[in-house]
Amino acid sequence: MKKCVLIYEDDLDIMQLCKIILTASNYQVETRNTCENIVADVKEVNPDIILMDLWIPEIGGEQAILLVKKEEAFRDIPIVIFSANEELDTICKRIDASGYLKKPFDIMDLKNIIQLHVKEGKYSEQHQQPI
Amino acid sequence: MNEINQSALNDKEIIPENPADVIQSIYEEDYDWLTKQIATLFGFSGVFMTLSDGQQSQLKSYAWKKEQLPEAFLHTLSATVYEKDDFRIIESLSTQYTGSGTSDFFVGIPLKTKAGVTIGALGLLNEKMPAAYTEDLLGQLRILVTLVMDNVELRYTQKSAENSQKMVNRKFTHDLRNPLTVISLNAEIIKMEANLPDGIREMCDQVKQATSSMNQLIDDFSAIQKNAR
Repeated sequence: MKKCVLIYEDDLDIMQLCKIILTASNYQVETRNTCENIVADVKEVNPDIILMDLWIPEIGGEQAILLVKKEEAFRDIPIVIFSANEELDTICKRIDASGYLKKPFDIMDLKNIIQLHVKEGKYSEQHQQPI
Repeated sequence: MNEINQSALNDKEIIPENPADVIQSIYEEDYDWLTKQIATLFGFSGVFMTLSDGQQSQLKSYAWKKEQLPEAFLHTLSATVYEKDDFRIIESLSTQYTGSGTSDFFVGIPLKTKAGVTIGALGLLNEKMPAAYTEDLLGQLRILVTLVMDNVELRYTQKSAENSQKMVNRKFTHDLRNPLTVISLNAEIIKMEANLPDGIREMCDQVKQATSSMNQLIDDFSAIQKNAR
């Protein structure tokens, strides 16, 4: 079964490129260009990992991540933030994200960070178990 | 992302509506310096400055020739000044308030921004009504307070301009890196195509190298901006 990546990115070119790269790497990819409905999105998509841009309408990636972290059921979903922001390391620690990817990045950077956190994610193992 | 609010760069809107923003734009030692200068200039036994963000009043600085009055009492006096448009003068303080100690004469003037927002009060206390207490003295005090507020607002304007510049720089570097990401990833994807002529592969490498150089330039620019601050 393919692992699912939910991407939040308002730059449609970057979103499309990430989708192409990750789809070619055998992931199922869902995309959103706004994040105000993140809790409903996560419920609907049930992703193994979330890739979140920080400067995204309407509430911003940071706030959106905090909303997800508030939900007990989603707390273990790995979240990787990606942005051109220079303080990604600090922000990553502040919001307890699993990792970060600084723009511009290479194809391998993207594939590696997704692979690393999907593999490490407890959530993925739990929610793939047969009932 | 939200666009930068260009109106923030408009001088007319730089006059603050939020007292807390103005208050925070002044260094602590500057308030102390101002208070001491006023005490020296006017020769009163006590001068104090309180600031208020509309909810809480705080004693920002004071200069006393004798024993300092209780802080709570100064806030009580300030509260009567905040609501005034001009001077608040109490010629017989001890009959109206307990806790005034040896001080019996009080002049208070609100500190107001050009937008009409009160950000604090300047208070002068003396044991008795000073011999030199005249309309002329009040006029000088009024001019002094206007100068103080001009100084405060000038600093606030400068701080606002610096913040706007910081935002512009952040947006500039951010918005350059997004297209660089697109260019760089596209170059990599094209290069992965099978049966691609060698010349095209070399071009992809050149594009990748160029985007990397440009990103380094943005990093350098950003570092220079940070050091300049």
